Amino acid sequence: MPVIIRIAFRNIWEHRSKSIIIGSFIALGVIILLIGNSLLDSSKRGVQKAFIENFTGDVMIYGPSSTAVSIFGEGGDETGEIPIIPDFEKVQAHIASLKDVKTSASMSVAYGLMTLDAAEEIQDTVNSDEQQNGPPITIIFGVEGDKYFSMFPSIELVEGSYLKPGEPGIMVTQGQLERLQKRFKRELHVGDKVLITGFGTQNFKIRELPIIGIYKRSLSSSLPDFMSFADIDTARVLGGLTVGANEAAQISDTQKGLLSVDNTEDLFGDDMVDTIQTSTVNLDTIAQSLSNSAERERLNQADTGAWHFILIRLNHPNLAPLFIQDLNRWFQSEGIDAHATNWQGAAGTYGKFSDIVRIVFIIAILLVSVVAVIIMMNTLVISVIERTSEIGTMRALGAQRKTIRQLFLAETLSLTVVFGFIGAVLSMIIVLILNSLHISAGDNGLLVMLFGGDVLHLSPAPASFVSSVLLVFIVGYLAHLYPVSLALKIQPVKAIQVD
Amino acid sequence: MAIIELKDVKKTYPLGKVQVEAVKGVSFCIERGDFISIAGPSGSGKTTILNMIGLIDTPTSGEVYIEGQPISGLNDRQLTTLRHDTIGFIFQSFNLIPVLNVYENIEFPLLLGKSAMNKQERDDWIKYLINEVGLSDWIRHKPNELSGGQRQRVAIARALVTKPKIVLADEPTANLDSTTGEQIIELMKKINRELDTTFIFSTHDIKIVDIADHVIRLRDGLVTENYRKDKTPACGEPAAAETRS
Repeated sequence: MPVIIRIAFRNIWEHRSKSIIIGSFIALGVIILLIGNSLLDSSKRGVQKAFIENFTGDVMIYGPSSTAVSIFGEGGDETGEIPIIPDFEKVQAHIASLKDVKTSASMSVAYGLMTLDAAEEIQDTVNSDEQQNGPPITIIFGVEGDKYFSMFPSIELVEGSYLKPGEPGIMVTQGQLERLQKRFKRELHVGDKVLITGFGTQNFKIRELPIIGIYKRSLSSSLPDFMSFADIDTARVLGGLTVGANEAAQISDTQKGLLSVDNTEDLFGDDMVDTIQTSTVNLDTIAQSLSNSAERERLNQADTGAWHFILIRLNHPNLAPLFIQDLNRWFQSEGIDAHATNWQGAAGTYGKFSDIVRIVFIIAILLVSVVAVIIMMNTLVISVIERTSEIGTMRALGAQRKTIRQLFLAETLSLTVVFGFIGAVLSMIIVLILNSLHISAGDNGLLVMLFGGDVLHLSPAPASFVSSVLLVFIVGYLAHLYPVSLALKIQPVKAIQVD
Repeated sequence: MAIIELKDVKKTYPLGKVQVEAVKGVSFCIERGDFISIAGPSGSGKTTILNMIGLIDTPTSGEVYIEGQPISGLNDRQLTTLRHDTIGFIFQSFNLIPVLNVYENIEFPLLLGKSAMNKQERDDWIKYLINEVGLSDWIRHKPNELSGGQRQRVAIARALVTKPKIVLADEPTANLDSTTGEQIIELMKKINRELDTTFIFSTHDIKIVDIADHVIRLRDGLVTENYRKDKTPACGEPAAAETRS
């Protein structure tokens, strides 16, 4: 075997130009793989940290749904409603009893339009800003201020104060405030009121709320900037989680019959009026009836037991998968139709971003690998043709086929090891250079996601290093198979026939 | 017993749509320790016969026997092992491995199979051969640093390193000047005497043919003469009937 290695290394040196061509592909492959994987690892770590510490916690619990529901309300069933957690108090009590839980907070979500009070002003601006930036939609996180903000310390107050339990109000970001100011051409401060039009699947609810505070997220300034925080009861009302929403209307059989009419024309037929009321209508009675809003107010009250999500931070975040498994098992055993998911499930599309990019990257790498295999293979084939006489001589002198196979394998693997190492060293140098440049993602949200933060910082993981080297070895091995099959077909007689 | 025997050996090559009969039914045998020349003009079938004796080509029909063993039916692995253990090759174009130096080129065949020699014995034997071929001062030189004659000397030492019973040399002097060519043949003859190795070489050089003990002449794929210089009958030949006077 040593003589095979000796010949392999000397051949690599002897045929330097070819070795450099093949080696360049190997080194380039390692560089692309290592830096690409480092970027993706950093991206995932950054996004994971940002979401866990800003939005999702380590574990999130959501209500009955055949598909995963994100904290932004993505997913869920066909109704479009975010499911509420059944047996909330029991679930909450169970979580409180678990020693792995560091802290937890419950929340509900509503969607709304954030404006000021003048509908006309919206019309005035519709042709400019609204067309360009879309309507001022906000996702409202209804939270219990004390618990929630202590769980997410990365949410920092810029001005005003945090929401307090039972205090109606809203917390917005500086960006949201600036957009509102620009839109309505008015200075806005803490204490000013904004109008939130909450839209659910059934109805609209409008609430006027004072701006309690302006907040920012310390981990990444470019995380989604359309979230605002409101007190939980307001958020429930805006999201349609009211007492009335949970009460089924009592209607008579005649009324039900009207609802089931297929042809709406029938509703206005000749027999529509079968009794003519002859008595005088007493307007006072009607006014009195309408002014009695007690029932309406009751139905419009928030359903205080309705929560969309419970967010949990764990003492040992790396044990989250086991914790989730145990929790889901408990839900099943207790017959509670709720589910636990990790930060990635809770983050929805955002959480899948790095995985999607990784899949695209892997596909690109596979394509590049195929090209690399073809180029390396062609170069090795030329090498085999040029060395026909040498191979024939070896066979004539008594070299078995396996010796020839070992020779080519040794050459390919030697090239892979040497240039793979060079590629790895160059990758480290490139990583150091890139990290020292502190490349900023700026305002580009895609870059922020890709960098896993506001600034590019690559830290290659050992697993990425191993997988990159392994892939390059596989590419090298595949590339040598066809040339070696050609070499093995060379008969010893070729030693004499070819000079 | 003959070390090599050919019985009615024919070899046909396809050349485009035509079949070319390079050897048209050749029979002869060679005894151990002989120094044999297979002579004839270009296209007479010399190289084809040497290739078949050297187990690097197979007859279309007929049989080749090495030490009484028919080679037909042997698979590639068996042929390779037999070739390694029994036969040494000296090529017209030297065919040294360019990346190995003189010592390593000579050592190479020893590393391809099982050797009865230990490391020290092997080293002594290689150095002995290098000394025999007169290349002691060139031991660490690569083939491209040597002259043609020196390269062929390396090839001779390499052919002998496994102590083969047979050494085949296909026109070993074709790429050398006449003086060097004669020196090479003299060297082969010397080793033939010293090591009792059977040397078979092809040539069309009359002067070199005359050095051989046993001459087989070919023309158009047939044996035209088969004689020994000492006038003893070649093996398999009737006494004096077909020998040259």
